[in-house]
Amino acid sequence: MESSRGRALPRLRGFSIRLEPRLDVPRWLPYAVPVASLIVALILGMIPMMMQGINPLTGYRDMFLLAFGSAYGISETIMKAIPLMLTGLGVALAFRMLVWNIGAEGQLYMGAFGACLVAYTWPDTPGWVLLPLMIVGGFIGGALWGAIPGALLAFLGVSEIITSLMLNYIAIQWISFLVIGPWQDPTSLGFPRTTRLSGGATLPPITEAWYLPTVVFLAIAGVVLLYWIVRRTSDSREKIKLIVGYAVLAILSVGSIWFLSGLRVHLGLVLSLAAAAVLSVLLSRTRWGYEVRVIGENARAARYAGMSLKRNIILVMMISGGLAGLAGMSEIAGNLHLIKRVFSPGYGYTAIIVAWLARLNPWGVILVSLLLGGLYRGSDAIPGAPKALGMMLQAVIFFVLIGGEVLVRYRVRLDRGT
Amino acid sequence: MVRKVGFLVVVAISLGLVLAACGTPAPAPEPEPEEEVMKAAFVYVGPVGDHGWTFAHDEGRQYLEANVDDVETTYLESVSDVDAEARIRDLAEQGYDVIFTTSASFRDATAAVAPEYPDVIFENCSGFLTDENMGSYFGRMYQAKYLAGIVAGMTTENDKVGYVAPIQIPEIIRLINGATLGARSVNPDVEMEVVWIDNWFDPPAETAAVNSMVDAGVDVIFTGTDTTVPVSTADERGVWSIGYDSCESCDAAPDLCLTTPCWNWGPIYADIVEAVRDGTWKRDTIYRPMSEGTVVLTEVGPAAAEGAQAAVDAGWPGDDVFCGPIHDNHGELRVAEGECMTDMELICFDWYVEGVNSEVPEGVGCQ
Repeated sequence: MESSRGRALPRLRGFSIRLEPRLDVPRWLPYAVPVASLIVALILGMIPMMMQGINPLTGYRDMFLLAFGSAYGISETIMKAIPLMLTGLGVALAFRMLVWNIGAEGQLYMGAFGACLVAYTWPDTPGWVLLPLMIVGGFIGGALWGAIPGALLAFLGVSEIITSLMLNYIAIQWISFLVIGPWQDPTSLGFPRTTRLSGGATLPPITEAWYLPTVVFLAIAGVVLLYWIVRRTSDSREKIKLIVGYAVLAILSVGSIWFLSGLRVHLGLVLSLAAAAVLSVLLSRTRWGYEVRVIGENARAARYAGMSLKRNIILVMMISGGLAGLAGMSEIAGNLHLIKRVFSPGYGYTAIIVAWLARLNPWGVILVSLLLGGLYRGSDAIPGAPKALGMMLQAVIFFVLIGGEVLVRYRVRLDRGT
Repeated sequence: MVRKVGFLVVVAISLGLVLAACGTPAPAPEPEPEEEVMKAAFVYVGPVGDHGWTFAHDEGRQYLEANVDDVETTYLESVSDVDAEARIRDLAEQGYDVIFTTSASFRDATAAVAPEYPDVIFENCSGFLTDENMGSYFGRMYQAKYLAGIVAGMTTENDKVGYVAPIQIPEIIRLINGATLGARSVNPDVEMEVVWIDNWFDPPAETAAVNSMVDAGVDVIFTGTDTTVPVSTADERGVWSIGYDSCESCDAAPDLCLTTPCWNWGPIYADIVEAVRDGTWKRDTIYRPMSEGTVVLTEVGPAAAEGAQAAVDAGWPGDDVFCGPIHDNHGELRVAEGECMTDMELICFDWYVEGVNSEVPEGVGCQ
């Protein structure tokens, strides 16, 4: 007994686990790994569920049904996804250039501040004037808050990871000050919150009244597209692509009005999708987008090519912050209609996970946001379950999904001997 | 790029498949519950394990299940003020007949959802706001705080009592005033210190509040928050304490905890659910006094000054706590001899009685 143990030990110690970069990644691997990760996460998540005496199968079924099982559930999932989309887009843009903006949470709060500053200054303005102004105000609020760590990085070389993170706390405290101080609702008895936004300052929910403007928009877009196809495109594959894209857009927009009208989803969804479209075109079709990608891949080469690092760092931080600011604007104007003290459950931090899982792709951000929105909704609202269970499930799924990404780029090797 | 999007589509589909597959082995949907089974849902502001406010409400929920036939209940715990509206709407959407929202913080969220679901009855605790299908219920806790104040006033040696105060609203001002009047009715030298933690539930802040007051010489701590943390912190610092919310609060410090003003919600929940079932429910503001048993003061513990229990019994049920003469803490006579404050004045309380060593924060009260 003693001797066999003695032999076994050095042999065990002889094994070593190494991560080796993959030289070429098989086509199927980037899809298979997240799927496998998710299955592993769901299996791990069963443990805390069973410890709580909940049947994991019915538990997961209930979560899925809460998030995606009815039009109402999908609408509430989208409500959670909208701020994730906007903050996720902002974070993804900054990460493209390897600028680590951890400050989306604070930028979201300052965006809400900027938008509400507009709304409380001119409360009686009609919505078609006030809402665009609030969107601008929200974007500027977030952009200026993002510009601070951007400028500190560009001119002084101060790590943006630290400064953007620390600015979050200042922004949250600033809002706390406003809701128990100058902006507090005098009729709230003393509860920390602001007065309700005027009707013109709220993002309208999707209703059947949207059919007409949507059809008009689609008609105009159709004419432009037709002109483009006839006059500017010679490649027939390109023509088919454009026509298919237009058909998808038309079906999706009309279909979602039909599906979501009368529920709570608001104009913020359109704002998020438009932001994704603009960002995706900017990144793939413009000189600036090319600069962002080159700087992200090789800053030194970019500098030799005459690209301005300083200017781009500040610009990217401002746009990134501005998008997070829009998230704050849409959350207040579309969902809550007034500011409460800590009104974001950490959207700006989840945005980092969203951007990462989406591999920094704008349309990926939209899709991942919808999935994580569903996860949030499903795990938050299980009646009779402890709050901590939902949070544990979220954490397990995030942890395993992010951790699994390593396996796409590296292979695990078990070596015997040294 | 197409590949990346493709990957996400695969994830989405597989998520759906996995979860749908998880769903299949589950038993077929149960047959429609019989008409008379009532479904009641509770929205809690803290965790059911807080041993305080939410714990007491959850005991009330369990009482309802045990004492009323054909009632099904569920709850959502630790619902944040920000999420409340969405969660309350969820429960209405899921077909609950009665929805109890057990915090003044949920008052406006409840009032926002109620008109959307006219067939559901909403009941908000301590918010004093009603609607066609929304009632409000509460108990006259200030009476028990007054009696506990008697115990504190007789027991304190430094004549300094402290109150760990949660959220800056009139309800808390009212309770601080009740406790102060009780303490000064037996010991006119007592001064009441107040520290706000700006939250119903925040154990680190509660500990810090107790420590700062004990450092300043306070030797009896009243807790006004949702937990027993102030009681156990006071015990660690070797000072007396008065519990709150759950009648088992003093279990956290049996040696130094004097007594506990606490809630007995069960009967109110049973009455409301029965009324909804019978069709006799009507829009109402329930504000039950101590004599009806919603508010309780536990037996005075051994650490209290001698004769405290007798003094409490003599003062019970404290119906005249806010009857004059009462001066505010700037010496002005606010309630004349022979007059009593109205319920409306109590609900909007925005001044401290004589003996409270603090100022009412700006913005508190009705405007």
